[in-house]
Amino acid sequence: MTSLRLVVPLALALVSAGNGQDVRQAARRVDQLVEAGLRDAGQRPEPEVDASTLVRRTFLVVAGRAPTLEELDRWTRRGADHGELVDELLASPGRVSHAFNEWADVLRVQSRFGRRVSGEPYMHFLKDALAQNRPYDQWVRELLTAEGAAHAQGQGATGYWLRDFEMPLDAMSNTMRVFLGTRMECAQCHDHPFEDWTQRQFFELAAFNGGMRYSSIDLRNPQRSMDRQRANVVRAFAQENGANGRTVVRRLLQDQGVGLAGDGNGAIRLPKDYAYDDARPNALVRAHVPFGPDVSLPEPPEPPQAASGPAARVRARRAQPIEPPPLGSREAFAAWLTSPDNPRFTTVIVNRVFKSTFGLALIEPVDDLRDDTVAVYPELQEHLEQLMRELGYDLVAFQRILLNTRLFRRGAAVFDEAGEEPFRFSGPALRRMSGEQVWDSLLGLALGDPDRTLKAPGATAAPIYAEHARIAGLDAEGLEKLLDEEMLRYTDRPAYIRVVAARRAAARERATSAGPSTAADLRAKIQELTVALRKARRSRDQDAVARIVREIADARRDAATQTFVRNPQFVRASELSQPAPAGHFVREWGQSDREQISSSSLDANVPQALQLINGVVDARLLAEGSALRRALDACEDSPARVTTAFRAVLGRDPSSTERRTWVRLLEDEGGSGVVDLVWTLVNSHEFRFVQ
Amino acid sequence: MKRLAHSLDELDRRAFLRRSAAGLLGVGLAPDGLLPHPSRVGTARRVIYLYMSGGMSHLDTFDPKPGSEVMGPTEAIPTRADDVSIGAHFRNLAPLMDRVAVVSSMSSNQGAHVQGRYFMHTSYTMRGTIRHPTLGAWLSQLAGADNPTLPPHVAVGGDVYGASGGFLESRHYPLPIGNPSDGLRNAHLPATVSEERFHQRMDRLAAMNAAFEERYGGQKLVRSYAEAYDQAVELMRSDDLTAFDLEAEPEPIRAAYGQGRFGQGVLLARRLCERGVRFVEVTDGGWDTHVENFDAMDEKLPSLDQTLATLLLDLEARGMLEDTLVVLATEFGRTPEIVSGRNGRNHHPKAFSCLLAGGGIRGGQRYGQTDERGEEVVDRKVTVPDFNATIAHALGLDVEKVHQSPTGRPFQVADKGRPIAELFA
Repeated sequence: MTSLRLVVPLALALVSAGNGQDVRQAARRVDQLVEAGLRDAGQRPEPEVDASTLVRRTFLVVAGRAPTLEELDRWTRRGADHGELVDELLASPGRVSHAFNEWADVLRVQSRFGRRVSGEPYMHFLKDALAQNRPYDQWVRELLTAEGAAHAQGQGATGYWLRDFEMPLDAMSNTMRVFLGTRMECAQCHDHPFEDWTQRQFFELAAFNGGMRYSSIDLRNPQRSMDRQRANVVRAFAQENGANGRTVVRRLLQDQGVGLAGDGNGAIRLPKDYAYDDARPNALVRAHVPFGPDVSLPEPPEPPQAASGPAARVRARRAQPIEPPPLGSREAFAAWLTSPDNPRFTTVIVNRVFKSTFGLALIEPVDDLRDDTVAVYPELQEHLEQLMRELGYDLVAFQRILLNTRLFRRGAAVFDEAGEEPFRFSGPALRRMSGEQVWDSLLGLALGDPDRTLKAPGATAAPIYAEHARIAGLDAEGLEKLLDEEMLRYTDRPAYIRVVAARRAAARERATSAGPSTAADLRAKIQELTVALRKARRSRDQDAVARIVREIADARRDAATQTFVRNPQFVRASELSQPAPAGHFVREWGQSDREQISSSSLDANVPQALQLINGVVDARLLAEGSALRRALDACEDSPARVTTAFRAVLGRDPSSTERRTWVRLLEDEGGSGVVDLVWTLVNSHEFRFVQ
Repeated sequence: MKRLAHSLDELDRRAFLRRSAAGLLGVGLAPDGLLPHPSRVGTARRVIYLYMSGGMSHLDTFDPKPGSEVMGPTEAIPTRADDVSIGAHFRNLAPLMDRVAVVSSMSSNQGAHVQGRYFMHTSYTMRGTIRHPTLGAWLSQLAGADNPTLPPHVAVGGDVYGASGGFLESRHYPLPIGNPSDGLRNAHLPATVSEERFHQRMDRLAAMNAAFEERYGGQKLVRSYAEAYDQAVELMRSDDLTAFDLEAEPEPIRAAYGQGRFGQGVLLARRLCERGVRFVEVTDGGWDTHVENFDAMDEKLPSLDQTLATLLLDLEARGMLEDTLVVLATEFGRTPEIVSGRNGRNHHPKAFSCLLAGGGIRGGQRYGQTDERGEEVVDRKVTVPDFNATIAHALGLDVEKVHQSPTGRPFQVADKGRPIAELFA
C-alpha cells in the first residue's frame, strides 16, 4: 500500500524547523480568522496578559507544570522573548511528559493490561514517538499495523491492540472514536438508532483486522516457533507431567508469546444473531470502509479444492474451519485511517492540539463528529487542517504556530458551559490544571526542577525486555530447567516460593547495580571533609577551618535535600505507575482510571480540598530539604519572602496591597506567618486555574 | 435533642453488648421477638455490601451438601431456620439465620475475576467502550445523600476494582478508604494549626479569592471549588466526622467485630450508615482458593462468622436492621471437584450463593436450589442482574426506568434484572 501523503511544499517545510518569520506569518493568519469571527459576533478580544502570566501559562500548556523561580526570573527579564521560550519548552523533556499524560488519557494507558500483558513497552513506544516528535500519522500507522512479541524490545506498538486483549470489536469502536472522532459502538450490536451506521458497516470495518491473533506464538502449533531440540524438550515435558505439565507449558508459551500476529485477511463473520435482511447470520463479510477514499483489497485466492479419499477425509475432520488467507488488510486499514484524504483524521488531531493549547476545541467534543458538525470558525478549521497536512503531521511544529498567536497571549475568557452561545475564543478558555499539572507543579515547589525526575523513555521497560530475551535465549537444557522450576508450583509449593523469591532478588540486583546514589556520594564527601577539618585544626589554619566548616554545612544540607528529593514517590506524574494507585493525589485531582477513553476529570471534590487544606502544605511543601523552604530561608527580609512565595506558587509578584498586608503579618507572626502565606496561595483559585 | 439521641444510643449499645457477648460466648441465643420484623417491601434506606473478592466457595459456606464426596472435610450444621443448614464454621451465625435469606441459586456467565466482579457490581458485562455505574453510584445519584455533610458512597478495603461510578458524575464515585483504622485522610487540622489560626487562614483565603471570583465567577467550576471548600470545612467541623474514627468505638465492640481489616471495615461501615451514608462496600480478599481450599476455609470462615454475626446483632440492637440491607456477595462459586494434589477448588460461575438480610428481606429462607453436587442450579435460577434488581427494589429504586448516559445510551439500574418478590417479607 503506498502512502497517499501529499508532498510537503518547500516553503512550508521551513515552518517545521521553527523558522521565525514563517511561524509568525502562519500565526497571524490564525489571529485574523479568529478576530474576524469575533467582530462578526460583536465580541471584543481580551487584552494581552502581562509577562509573568504568559510565562506561567506557557509552561503549564507546553511542559505541564508551573515554572520554577529561576525559570520565571529568566523568562520575565527585560528582553526575554516569548518565541524563544516556546522553542525551548517544545524541545524540553517536560513537553514529552505532558504530551504523554494527555495521550495516556486518550489511549487508556496502563502499566499492566490484565495479568499477562505489561504496558511498559507500549509506554516506551509512546514516549519515544513523542520525544522524537515523529509525525503523528506515522506513529498511528505503526500502532495499527504492529506485529510481534510485545515484551521483546522494539515491539511496544503492539500495546495498542493488546490494550483490548481478545476484544477486537471493542478495539475497533475505540479506534474509530480516538482517531476519527466517529462513534460506532452502538453499531457493534445493532444499527445505530440516530445515525447512518449499520451493524453490517461496523463488521465490514472490523474485517480489516480479521485473522489477527493475540499471540506472537502460534499456540496451536507452538513447536513451529522453536528449534527441534527445544521443541523436543517441551513435548517430552508435557508428556511426562500430565495435565499440570501441559498447564506449565501453556502458561510459559502464553506469557512469552504475548503479542500480535497476522497482517489481516480482510474478512470476518457476522454475529450468530445477526437480524437484518442484507446478510445471513454468521455469514462471512469482506472488509469495506464506511466513508472516505475507497480501499480495494486484492481478491482472496480460491479456497483449496476439496480433495477426496480417506486421507483427505481424516484431514478434513481434523482441520480448523478454513480461514481466508492473509491479504495485508491491517496495513490497508491503517493507510486509509491516516490518509490526509480521510475526511476526519486531520479534523480530530487539529482539534486535539487546539484544545490542549487554548483549553477548548473548535469542535466540541473532539471525538463525536457527525455529518452536520460545524466548527465555531469553519474557515479557521479548514485553514488549520490544511496547515497540518502541509506540515506532514508534525505536531510540535503545528503547536508552535498556535503558541505564537496573539490569541495565546490574551487574557483567559470565561467559558459558560450552560450558555447558548458557543465559546468564540476572545482569549484562551479559563481552565483548571489537570491532576498531573497540579501534582507536577507542587512537585516543583518541593524539588526545584521536577524534570530531573524524568527518566529516559523505556527505562522502566528494560527489565521486561531483559526477562523476555533471557527466556527466548535459553537453550534446550536451560528451557528444561525452567520448566522443572515452574512445575514446583504443583509439586513442592514452598520450594516454588523460594525459586520465585530468588528470581525477584536477582532482578532487583540487576536494577540497582546502576551506580551509587548521589546521597551516598555526599555522605562520602562529608566524611572526607571531616578528616580534612581535623587536619586543618591541628595545623591551626583558621581560614581553612572556616572554609571547610562552610563546605560541610553545605554538603549536609544537600544530603538532606537529596534524601527528600530522591524519595521515589516524588516523581513527575508521567513516571508514576499508570494510572497512579486509587487514592493517590493525582487520582483525587482527576487523573483517569484509564478504563474509558478521555475520562480524566476537572471536577471539584471534597478530598481535593482536604488535601490542600490539611495535607500538603504544612507537612510536605515546607519540610526540611524542600526547595521552596530553602528559597524562603535565603530571603533577607519579609518583603523578599512575600515576593518569593508569590512568584514560586502563583508565578507573579504580589500587588502592592498584597505585599503590604502580608509583610505586616509576617512581621507579627514570624515563621508561622510564612507557612500561612504559602498555605493561602496554594489553596487559592489562582493556583489551580490557568489564567 | 442531640443529647437525648445520644443517650438512647448508649442504652442500645449496652443492650447490644450484653447480648453479643452472650452470643459470641455461646452461652445463649439472642432473645426472640424483641424487634418485630416488618412486612413491607422496600424498607431499606442504605446498604452494607460485603464483597468476598476472589470467588467464595458456596459448598463450604452457605450451600453445603452433607454426605456428598464434594464436601471434603467440610461439615454442615443446622440453623435456627428450618430448612437452612450451613457450613460448620458458622457457629455464631447459625442462631441468627432466621434474619438471613440465602440465595443459593446464583448463576453468572463470567468466569474470570475482573469480568466477574464487574458484572456483579454493575449488572452489565464488561465492555471496552463504556464503564457502567455500580449499585452504590446509582443509589447516590438517584436517592441523593441522607446526610449532606458526609459522602453518600464509601468503599473500604484495598481492592475496589469495579466499584466505580462509571459514566455518572465523580461525586457518585465511592470515597475510597484503604485502611479502616486510618479513617478519612486529611480530615483533621495538622497539630501545628490551631482552630484560631485556621480561621485566619480561611479569612485570608476568602480575601485572596474574592478578586478571582469577581472576574471568573461566571465559570461553573470556579463556583464548584468554592462549594467544595465549604463542604470540606463543614465535614471537618461535622460531629459526624467521628463516624470515620474507630477509636471512638468502645473496645469490646471493636473486638466483637474482629480485629482484622475486614472486621474493622465492617464496623466502620456500620458507623457510617448510622450517620446516613447510603452505600458502604467492604471488600475482603483471599477467596480464590485454587490451592488448599480447606486450610483457607479454616482460616477465613471463623472471622467471617464472627464479623457477620456481630454486625446483624449490632444493627438489630440499634434498630437499624429494618432499614439497612446487608448483602454478602462474590463473583462466583467454586467447583464441586476438589483438585487432587493441591486440594483446591477452581472457579465455578454456574452456581453459587449470596446472602441478603435486613431492609425488608424475609429471613430464615433458602431461595433456589442446586443439584446434589452443588454443580447446577435446579430450581429458581437467579441471574446477577436479578440479584441486583432485588437490592435496588429493596431500596425503592425503579428498576424499569431507563436512564441516559452522557453519550445518550440507555441503561437501567440492574440492566434487565427483575426483583424476586419471594425474598421480601
